[in-house]
Amino acid sequence: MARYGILHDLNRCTGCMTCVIACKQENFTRPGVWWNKVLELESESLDRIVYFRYACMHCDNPPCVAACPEQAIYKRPDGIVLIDQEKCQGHGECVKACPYGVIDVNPEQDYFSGQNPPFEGIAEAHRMHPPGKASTCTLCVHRIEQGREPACVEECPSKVMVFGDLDDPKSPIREKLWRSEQLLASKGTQPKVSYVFPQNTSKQVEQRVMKNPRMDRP
Amino acid sequence: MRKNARLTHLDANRTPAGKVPVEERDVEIRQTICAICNPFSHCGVDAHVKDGAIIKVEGTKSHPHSEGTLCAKGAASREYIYHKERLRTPLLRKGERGSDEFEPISWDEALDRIEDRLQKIKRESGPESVAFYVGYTKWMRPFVKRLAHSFGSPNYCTESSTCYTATKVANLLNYGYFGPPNLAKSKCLLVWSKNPFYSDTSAVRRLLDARERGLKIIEVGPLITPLTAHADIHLRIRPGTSGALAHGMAHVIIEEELFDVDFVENWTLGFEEYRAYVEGFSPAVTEEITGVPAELIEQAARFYATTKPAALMTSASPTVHHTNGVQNHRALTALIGLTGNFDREGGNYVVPPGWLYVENGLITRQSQYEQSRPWPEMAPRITEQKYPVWSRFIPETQAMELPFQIQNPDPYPIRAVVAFGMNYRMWPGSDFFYESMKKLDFMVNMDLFMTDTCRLADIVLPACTSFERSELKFYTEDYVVWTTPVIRPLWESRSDADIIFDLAKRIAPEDDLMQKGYEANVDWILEPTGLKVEKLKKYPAGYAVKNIEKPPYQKYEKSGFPTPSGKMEFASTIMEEANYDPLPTFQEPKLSPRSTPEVAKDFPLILTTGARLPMYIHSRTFRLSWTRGLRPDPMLDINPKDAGERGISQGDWVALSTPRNSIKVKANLTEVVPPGVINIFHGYSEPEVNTLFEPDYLDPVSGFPGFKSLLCEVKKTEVEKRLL
Repeated sequence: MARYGILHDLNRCTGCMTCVIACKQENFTRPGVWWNKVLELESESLDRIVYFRYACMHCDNPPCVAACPEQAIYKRPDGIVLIDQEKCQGHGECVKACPYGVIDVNPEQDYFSGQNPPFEGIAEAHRMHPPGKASTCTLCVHRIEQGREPACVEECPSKVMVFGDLDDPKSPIREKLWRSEQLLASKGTQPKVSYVFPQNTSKQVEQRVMKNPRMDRP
Repeated sequence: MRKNARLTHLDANRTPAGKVPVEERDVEIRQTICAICNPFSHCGVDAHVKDGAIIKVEGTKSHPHSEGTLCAKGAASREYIYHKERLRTPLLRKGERGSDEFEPISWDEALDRIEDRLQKIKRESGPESVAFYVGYTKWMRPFVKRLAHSFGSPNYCTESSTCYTATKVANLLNYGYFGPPNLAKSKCLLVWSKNPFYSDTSAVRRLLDARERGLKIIEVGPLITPLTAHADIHLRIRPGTSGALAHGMAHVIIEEELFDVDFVENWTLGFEEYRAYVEGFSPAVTEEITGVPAELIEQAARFYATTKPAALMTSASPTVHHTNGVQNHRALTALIGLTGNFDREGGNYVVPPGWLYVENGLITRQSQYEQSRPWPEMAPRITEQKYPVWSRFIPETQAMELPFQIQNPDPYPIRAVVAFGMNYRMWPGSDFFYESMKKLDFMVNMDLFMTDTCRLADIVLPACTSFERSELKFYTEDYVVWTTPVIRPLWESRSDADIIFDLAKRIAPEDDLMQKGYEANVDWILEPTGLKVEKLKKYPAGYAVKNIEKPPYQKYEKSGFPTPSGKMEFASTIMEEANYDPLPTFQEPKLSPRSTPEVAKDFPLILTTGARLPMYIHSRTFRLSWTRGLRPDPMLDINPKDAGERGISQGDWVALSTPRNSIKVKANLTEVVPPGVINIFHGYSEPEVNTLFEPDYLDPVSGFPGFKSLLCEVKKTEVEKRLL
């Protein structure tokens, strides 16, 4: 069985936000819900900005699964962590349990209010996001099942991300894997999303995620 | 619908095998291009079409330019195409100019009314009193220029009156022709105030790949950009001092004899005067002017001059959005010739113009096509006298003069404007232009959306997006596309081309070629290439042209430079004739801490505007909730040091003031700007950034506004209720 993950070479990330919007149009998430996030971190001494793209880490040991009182969150045999929208009651325990801050509860508010663009009414289930339910990145499982890569990986103009089967020695994701690090590894979550950080920036990124995982600065 | 929403199919254990999701049925993938941004980028797009509607867009993998990638703007295309504020029918103004009172009319009525009014004005005061204007996008420009001239008006102007053309003028003054960096073969790239990551997103992976291969990068510019992390040296100049920095580098290169002696001796004019002039820009003096440490200036100069081949990458605006813009840009591009990197492999390589700013070696008849009537057969352009050098090189009218020329009898009044995608907020002192446009006798604007500029028009016409029309597009990768509409134009919108050729029947009936219609005109333009629209239609995703003959390097060795002297001109013959400084002399910006210290007492900070954000290109994606959600509020960037001194915290509302006006925005505390500099994105309707500038805060050679160096002050303020 495959074990899917994403590796980022953050040296190539330019903060262009393509992954963020590509995800929006692929998955139609609700306003304020960003499955893909890109944080900008400043480091004056290095005269650079570090751009940090992240989303659900699809942990091998996901704390959200244990936290859910309805058993609505489950890990598939291929390692993808999903939220069952039927079982989810919107308690929000998973939001609190996730150390990465990548789960949101869908708001009532919707895009396209006051207009009726074609297609939204008949969109496929994975693009529907009932209000009050927990919501996080599905690793574009609907695409993976068609043999495709997640939308964020495919559309990235700088080729920051590599998608693949972590257990397959021939997968391109294995090339840089030995150089990559997991975010907040000390939490024991064993994320399948990993990073090649620009020099001396991993701690800074971790601190920012712990302090404020939101994209917009207050 | 939402009530029944389920994510059950995501559960592999519960989904019946073989179930085909609804969405995937009857979906056809049709190719087109995204045309939201500038002509160099335009990514190939796979439009997923179901029941006549686009349900998704993805990058076209086989497209040689974008190779399947998009940017944040292109990925938001669906919101752009199906936006509820799209114009649906032609509209006729009922209320006062600027009001919202319009009523729908038919296309026939709209075009008849336009014909009547324009012909009447032509009879009364001559065709020259009608100005034609093209903003964004740029694809219809050649057709509009021809329409203007065939109607009889010399006053065709474009958004390029604030973009790109000043750099072109500077380059042509120095060299007579010019070329972009030959990145694939270059060993050192001097990037002068450009952020390709946000302005040419689809091509940046090549820059990153080149960097991984060992390309050296020197970055010049006041802001920290995504490039800075990849730059070996970053020269953080004070805005408006590019010219001084270039002279400082030239000083080092000449003093240390690192210049190309052979090229300078044989192929340049005015080197001795230039040498004597830059003598005054020692690293210490240059540090004092630019704020860049002398040591770094020396390092960068040696690095650029000795790492061969080296290429210079500039942008369309940042170096020329200053009141000293053309001379700034002349100064920095002089470094190319000085170091012997002009028209060399891996340097800056000259390829003749092709079609719509894209050069790939294919020669078209674009410029002959556009100039349907020679200049002497029309009245002089309104800006020929004021901007003689710019007018000599740019076959347009300088649009920055429109606000002053409307109803002004000297030399003749502009009474009507026929505009395609005009945004009056692009002008410095935009409120002044707004008031001035109210005095027009007649105005037409075409756009996708009901903008504030449309509200000034008598007749508003609904255009359509690149997904709904056909257009010709060149790519530098020897690729040509004639796009096929992937959906029908929405509502009653029409392609600008259809509008232009319908207008040609009415207002330019003597232009026989235009009477033959759009495709026949494109065929005429393409004639030297041997390509035809009929043939290109067979390749909706694009056609790879084989065996394009690329011009050789160092063409000047055979035919000289196309300048008056036949040489690269450090001292410009044309500038001298027009009574400007022939050398690329450095002047402080009109308002700066050094040129106007008395103003700087009250306005001690330097304001620079218009640097790109990744999700916006000017105001074009403001109204899309996906992109707007990434930065909902207008914000100014202020260094934490300056903010601290003023008691300003992240997210505070502040008043940003210049001697002309004051606007209220939120503060974003960031090291992206150096201390002493304020940076703000432009184009917002509220607050209106360009009201901070005087309408005549312009470069005397090009007429370009000084958007990137002004004096300002920032103070914490209480926000007015209406802004909350």
